[in-house]
Amino acid sequence: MVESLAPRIAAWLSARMPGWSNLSVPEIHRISGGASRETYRIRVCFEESGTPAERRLILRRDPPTSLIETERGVEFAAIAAFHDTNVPVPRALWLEDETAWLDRPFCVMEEITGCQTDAALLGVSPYVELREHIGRQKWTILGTIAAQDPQALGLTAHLQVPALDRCWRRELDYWEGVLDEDQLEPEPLTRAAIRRLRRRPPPPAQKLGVVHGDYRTGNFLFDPTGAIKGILDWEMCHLGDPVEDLAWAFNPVFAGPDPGYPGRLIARADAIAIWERTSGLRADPEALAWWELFSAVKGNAIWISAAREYAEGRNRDPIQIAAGWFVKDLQDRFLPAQLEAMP
Amino acid sequence: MKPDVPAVLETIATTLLTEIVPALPKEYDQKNLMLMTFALFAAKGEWDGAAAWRVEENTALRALFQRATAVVGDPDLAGRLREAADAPDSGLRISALDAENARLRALVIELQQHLETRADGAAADLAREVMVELARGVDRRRIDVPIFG
Repeated sequence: MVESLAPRIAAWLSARMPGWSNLSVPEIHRISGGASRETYRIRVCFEESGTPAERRLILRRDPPTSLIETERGVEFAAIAAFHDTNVPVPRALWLEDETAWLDRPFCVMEEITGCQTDAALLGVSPYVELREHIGRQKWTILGTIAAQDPQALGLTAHLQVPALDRCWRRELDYWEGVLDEDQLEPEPLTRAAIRRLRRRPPPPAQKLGVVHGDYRTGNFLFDPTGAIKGILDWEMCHLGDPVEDLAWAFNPVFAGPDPGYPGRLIARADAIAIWERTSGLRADPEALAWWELFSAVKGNAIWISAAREYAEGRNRDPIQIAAGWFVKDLQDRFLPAQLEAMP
Repeated sequence: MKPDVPAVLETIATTLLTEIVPALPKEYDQKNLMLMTFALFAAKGEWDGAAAWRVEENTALRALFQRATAVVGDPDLAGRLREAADAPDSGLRISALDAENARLRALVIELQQHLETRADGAAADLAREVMVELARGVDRRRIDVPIFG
């Protein structure tokens, strides 16, 4: 039961924050959606110097197995690095590698309250009227991420630094490896895409940028006025070609009913124009086409990993069914046309 | 007469979705159960045609391999294509059809790799035929769940 975690979290916080006395965790709720980490919303009450206080926190615990096998430290470092930039992120508070407290490592962030992430809300009032506003921010923020200097952010100390002409190969090798390891059945379309990508590599990256790795509607918090308050889920963050993030955000599985409006927001051409203006980079059509086909391969590697986790009983969370069955099906529907578009 | 399996699955899924999901106090549990009901809807859709589309696809791939034997120059690959083209399904259980389908689709990958090394028109025509068949395979597997509306 989720509630059984509350006293254990309280014990950990008491040890972590000796200045907080009479500490309790009166509320804990698991948040659905993320399959890579178990995410909990918690309310902590305590006294500090005799004064009652309250903090609302987000705790992200490693699952028994992970859909995306990444170091939790990557996410924590990325969020911490972006905190003092124009990219809105939650405040990263603590990273705990010791498994004695909650059986598995975890990290804790400040909760950004009063916000939503659910993409389905963009189809209903009041958010449907705010799509233009949210969309402009979404692509501006992605351009801002692309414009950053990874070294100035301190991220080159945490993340591999590929050469500009090797960014594509590193990502493709990695995700092909995931497919090799996790596929449950032969995948002729995905394998054809991988061969196509290797035969026609993209131009070298214009710059080495911070790639969020999972930038899409659903991974940011927006409030009732349509203001984006936080970019979430940085666990696939890496250094590479910034066009990769743009292409992933254009992945038609995240588009909603109209692929011409990626992430159910504004038109693709407007998104590109905003991204180019903000990043100072060019969304080179050849590079973008390559990375969009790559996104289909990466997507399928993730969905197939989820299917394997479920099939082998390592993770029976229903989100694994959605990823490994429904989203995989959707991703495959676009592949034939994508392959035809890049002969 | 017993009720049809799709009707049973649909009734259960609809009851869960409209009556049980809204009654759950926790949002996390609501969303999890919603995903489970979508799986029931998907299973309902798969039930009736599950064996038919697998038989159809395995038959289509064997016919493709039969035509490919005249185009493929590599004698080892051509031999294995011919062998696969001549082998029938070992039964109509889904697990048996899936095992055969996996064997055939692995051979499709080899065939594509071979065709990609060639620059002649016959190979290009066959490569296009393979892609058309793979696109049909996507349509055969297509599931209908109300998750991405």
